[in-house]
Amino acid sequence: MNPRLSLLLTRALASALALLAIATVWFHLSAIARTDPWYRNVDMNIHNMADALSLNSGVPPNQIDQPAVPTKLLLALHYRLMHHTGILPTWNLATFDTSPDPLREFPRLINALRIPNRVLLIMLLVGVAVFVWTISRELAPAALALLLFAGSPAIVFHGMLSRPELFCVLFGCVLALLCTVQATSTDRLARRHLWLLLAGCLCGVALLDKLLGVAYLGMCCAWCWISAAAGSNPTPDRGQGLSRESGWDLLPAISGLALLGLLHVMEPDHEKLGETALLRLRLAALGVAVMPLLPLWPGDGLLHKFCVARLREMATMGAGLLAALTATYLTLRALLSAAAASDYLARVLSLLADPRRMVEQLADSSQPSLVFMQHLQEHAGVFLGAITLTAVLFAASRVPSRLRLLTSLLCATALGVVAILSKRHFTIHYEIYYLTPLYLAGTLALWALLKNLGSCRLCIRPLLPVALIAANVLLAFSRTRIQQHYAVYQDDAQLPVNELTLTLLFDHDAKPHAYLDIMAAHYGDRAGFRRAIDAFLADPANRY
Amino acid sequence: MDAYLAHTLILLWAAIGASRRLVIAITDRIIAAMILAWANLVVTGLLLSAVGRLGDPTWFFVISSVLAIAVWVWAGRLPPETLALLPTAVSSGHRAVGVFLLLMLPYAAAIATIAWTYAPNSHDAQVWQIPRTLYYLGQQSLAAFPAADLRQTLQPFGTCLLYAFSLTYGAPLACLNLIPFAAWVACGLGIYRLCRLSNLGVFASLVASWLALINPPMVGAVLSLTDSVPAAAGLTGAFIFAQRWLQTRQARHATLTLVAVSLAASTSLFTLMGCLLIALPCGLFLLRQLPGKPATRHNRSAMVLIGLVLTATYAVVNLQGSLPGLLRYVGFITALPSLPSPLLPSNREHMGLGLASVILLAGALWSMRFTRIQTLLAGMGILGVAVWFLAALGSAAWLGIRAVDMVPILVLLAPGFATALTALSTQPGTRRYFALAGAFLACGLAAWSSSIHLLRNNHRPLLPRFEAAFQPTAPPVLPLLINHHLSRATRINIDSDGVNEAILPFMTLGRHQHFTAHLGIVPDSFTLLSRANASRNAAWHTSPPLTAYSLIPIPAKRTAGVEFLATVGEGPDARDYFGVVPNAGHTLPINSNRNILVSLHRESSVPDRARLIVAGLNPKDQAYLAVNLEQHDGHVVSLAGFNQDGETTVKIESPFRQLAFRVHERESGAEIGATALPHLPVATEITPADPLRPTGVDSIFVTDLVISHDITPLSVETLLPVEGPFPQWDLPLIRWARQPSVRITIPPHEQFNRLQMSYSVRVHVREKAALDVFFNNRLVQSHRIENNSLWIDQTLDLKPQPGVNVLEFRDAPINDGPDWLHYLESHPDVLEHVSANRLSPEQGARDHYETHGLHEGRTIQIIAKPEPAPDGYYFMFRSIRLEGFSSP
Repeated sequence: MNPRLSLLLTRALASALALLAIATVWFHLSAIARTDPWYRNVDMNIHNMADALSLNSGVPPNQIDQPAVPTKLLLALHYRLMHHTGILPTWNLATFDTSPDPLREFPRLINALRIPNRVLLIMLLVGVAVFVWTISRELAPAALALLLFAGSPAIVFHGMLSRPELFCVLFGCVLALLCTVQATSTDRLARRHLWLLLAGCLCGVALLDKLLGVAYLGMCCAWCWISAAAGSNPTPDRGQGLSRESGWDLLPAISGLALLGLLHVMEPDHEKLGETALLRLRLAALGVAVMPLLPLWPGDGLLHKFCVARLREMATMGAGLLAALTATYLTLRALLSAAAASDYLARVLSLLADPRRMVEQLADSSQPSLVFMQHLQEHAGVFLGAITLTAVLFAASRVPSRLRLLTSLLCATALGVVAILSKRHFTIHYEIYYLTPLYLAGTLALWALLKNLGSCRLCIRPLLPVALIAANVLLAFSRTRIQQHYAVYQDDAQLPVNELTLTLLFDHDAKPHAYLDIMAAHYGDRAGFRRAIDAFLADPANRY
Repeated sequence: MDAYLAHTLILLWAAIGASRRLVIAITDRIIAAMILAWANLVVTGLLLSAVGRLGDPTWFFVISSVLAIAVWVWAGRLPPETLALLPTAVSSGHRAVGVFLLLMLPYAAAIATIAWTYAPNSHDAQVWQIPRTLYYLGQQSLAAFPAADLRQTLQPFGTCLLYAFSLTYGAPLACLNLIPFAAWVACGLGIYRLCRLSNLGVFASLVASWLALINPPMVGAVLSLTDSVPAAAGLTGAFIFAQRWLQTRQARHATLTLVAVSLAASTSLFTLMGCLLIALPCGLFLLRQLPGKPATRHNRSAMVLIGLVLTATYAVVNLQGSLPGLLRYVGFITALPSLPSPLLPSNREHMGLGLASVILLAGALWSMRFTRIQTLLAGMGILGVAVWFLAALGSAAWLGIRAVDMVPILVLLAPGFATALTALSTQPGTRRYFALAGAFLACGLAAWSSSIHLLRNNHRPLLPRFEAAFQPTAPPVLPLLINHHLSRATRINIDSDGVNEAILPFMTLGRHQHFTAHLGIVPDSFTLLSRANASRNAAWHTSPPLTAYSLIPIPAKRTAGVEFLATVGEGPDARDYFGVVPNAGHTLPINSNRNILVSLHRESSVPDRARLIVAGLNPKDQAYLAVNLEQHDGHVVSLAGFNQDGETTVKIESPFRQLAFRVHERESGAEIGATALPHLPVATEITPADPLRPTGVDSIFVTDLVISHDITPLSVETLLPVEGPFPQWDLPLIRWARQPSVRITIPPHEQFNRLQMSYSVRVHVREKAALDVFFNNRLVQSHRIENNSLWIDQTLDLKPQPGVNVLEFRDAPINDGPDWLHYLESHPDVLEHVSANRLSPEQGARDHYETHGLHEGRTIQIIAKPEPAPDGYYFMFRSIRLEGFSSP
């Protein structure tokens, strides 16, 4: 066959299969949701639902045990949108209260809540495909990456949950790293700074969703240093770049000033922030703002220039991170009053900047090494595959060093994340944190190896479409695996609902006080609510 | 705090941005940036003071930021300095500089750690430097204010405007330490740069920098909040840019020189004197250079004009208060307690010049003999500084100049030492080794002394910082009543007649507070009156103390007056503090503030005239205070009269019996309060005001059972330990009587002939009560207390018996009620019934009477009974003062 025609056919096939995979995933999740009782996984679903209703009522969420600010904001905006398009009558606590029976609002609200997560999952699939395409500039490996993610129940089942992990991984691990890679690939100074700013901002959003986002921030920073140390970064265009360097240096200063301004606005809530958190935030603002001034120190050596350039990059990325905090406040102000937004953000920033108190409350794993091994055993194939492929990549002669370093960094990040997670008890919804970098590393390594196996090129190339088709076929029948994974995660579908579900629905003290008041006003005490929910769920039509 | 940090960032960026256009060498840039930032704060302060907005954080932020950005933009339009204009190769000697920085790092880290850990706690900072700035911010202008400590008003306010930067935003006091630290860094960089500009070698320049930074006076100065380090940094900057101007003739260098000189000169009168001494030879030298190479850059006239206008304006505004009062100030300084000589060796408390400084000075002075001095400007500078040093040393004892004040001299002489070192080290033979040994000896001695001082000084030692249990020194704990009032007030006026009074701890109890220092009471502020404890009821002497005050209690006062808060300190430094609440004239009084304070201040030059100040008397009191001179023959001379607060000057002619202050009700003319200051021809040891002080020479013992720590040899029973004060309940230090009777035993004393007992008592839990006072079982006083919020004050003169004497406070009967015990005694059948049923006698008798006895026609006897005391809280004493005398 004509090689050009073959290439076109491969691209068309890859695109079609990728779209088909996305459609399949959407179909599976919709089908599972249709038969999934709304009172499952109430731990996070109801918590986020109540907080979203609360945000739409101008009241900040009550208790904060993890940041999850973007998740809740997204859900609040989603409820607003659905209400204004006439789909969802209940969108805030006032409409929830005016409902004659708030219990009847739960199914609609929970079903509406699952849509943003499904959209986020699709964004993750598209994101990894774009990431791989950015590196490889080929559609086939991008489609392969998408299929790998779409075929992983450990990742796809997040489309059923209202949890912050998916958001954190999408923004922190995929999009932020993509921006960082783009920044280190361009020779245009303006683009480099803007990509880095965006990367920092995305890391900030990931961090605001889940504390583990800090691992991805470290990964992005490390990539700046590693890629430059390997000499794989293109040199900025001196003619148009260096003379404007000081202008770009202003970005961190402005960002630092913005954070200080935010802290000034939040002065009434400094007590909630806590001394340690306040000090750290101030130091962060000063550090980022002053960092670009450090190159004032004279020097013309290579090491000096290298360090100065990296300091500038770190400052720009830090500027993005701080900008995310300020932007979050401004977004919150769209929903909340100044005092409420300040109160909410103060508690969130306290958790982010001084997580010691929260971490101390969590139960530590007594045997971290066992938990570490449990994570490895659970996905031994993925770990082995990704690490082996990365190791083989180092042996291949014609693979660019940049790609080797990137896959190595992804594997190292995955292992680092597992090491952090092993301090806690094993839970399957955290698998996404390390599976994402592992899948990315594996896909990139596999593509690089296939591309560089020159002698086998002709016999391997036709295999790719066959592999993609086979993967899609497998994907079509993966609904049972996703359901099983979901069931392992949360098996609380029995009736009558258990006491914990009752607590989470009715009188859990983490819920906003207004929500608790509404439930108490409508159902009186716990026994009254038990009677009401049992009567409500007695009709199977009310369960989904 | 966040606005302060944001402002710091803007200043930093704008100053560095501007300096990058003005100069090219890195050290020049840093020093130029510091000068620009300092000048920005000064100009902002002057502008805000002119419009009465000093201390307003929003105005301060906006004006300063706009100025900084304007200078940045303006500097950006200037052509940048080119490398060709740099006289020396800046890249040489990197390795030596690296080693120097490594050696300097521990010292910098130690100073930074101390600055981070401790708030300014030096004597100067607590007495006048920070309080003075807070007063300026409180009154929102740089206008002079009345202050007894003239250092608060007559010193130039240059550094105040630096301190105002952080104090305006209410930043923690430790932030002020950033100023000497930054100036210390600037000094080090500046000296190195100055030496290099004078064509001295890297080694000699680094030795000079080391000696400038690590000599003991400098380390002592940078640890305490003194003016000398910023002054040294400013003068170093001025020399650098003067030198640069000589080389380039660029107007920007001339401007920076002028600005730096004016900033340095405005730090203190001592530095101003130095500037004048240095400016004389250097200015003449520079003027001679003017017809030389013409300036090549445009804008030179405008820039120089700006520098001159800024300098002149600043000088005029700054010195308008200082110069007219210069002689007064000198008199004040000389009257202060003398300080140790700067030549004395250093110890934990005192920082002397030290041997290293002496070597530095000797080397610098010796460098004057070299004919081939590196630059004439440096020579002129060294000459001027040398004269300054000699003048300072000569007047040290007289003007109280300490080693830390001589830091600018030492810093400016460091290049002279480097010159001598360079000259000697280039000579052959032993002189070279002698010079090197001298340099190493000086550096080593400086490092050793400074290390010891950093680790173990008395006020801010580094060593405890490394201990696990380290807690930063907390500010002195003030009495609760002072804390209570000052922490709540937003505007506080401090009227103090104190010199060397550590007033700062009183100004750090609340947030966002404004302080003023007006004399007398400011109606919308809480007024804190501070008077020397020794002047309380002090008699009128012909010799010091020349001040006296007295408190007139007026139980019938209708509005809030002066409240005694506490006595702070001990011995001659002890001070009494009083408070007047805001809008006291329209506020109802409480028991503790029904007082008027009268103060007498005399000038030593006219001892028969006194300024009489009355505080706490409001028009609504409808009272009149008459001040009379009562003669021995009974004749009364009226001196002054007051219907409300005020002051007047009176002439008092000795001798007289007493100076009487009598308060009369305006309508009825009845006397409602009085006090008097006796006249004594000569000062005596005993002053009769303090409750714990004997009132006569025949006093055997005096004690107060409430406030005395030690009441031996007396013994007291059933009185609880001291509690309070409880400002929330308007209660001072008190002792509770938890039993119906309090018994005080006075042991035998051969000469004991008279007992004077004063007590102040009230009830608190009970609504009413009666109190009987017995002396040796003889009733000497009875009180019926009908109001549980009023203190009963009484003084009794008693005649003791030989042997043991016993005083007793007894809860006395006040109510009529049945005598149940008598009922039982008179009816044995009832007694038998109560005993058989094991009832309490009183309850059993009551029950029997109400159910049976009344109907049976039995009678009961009515007797007087004390008021029941819930939980046994009988009486509350705030004072039980006992003084025994030998004479009847």
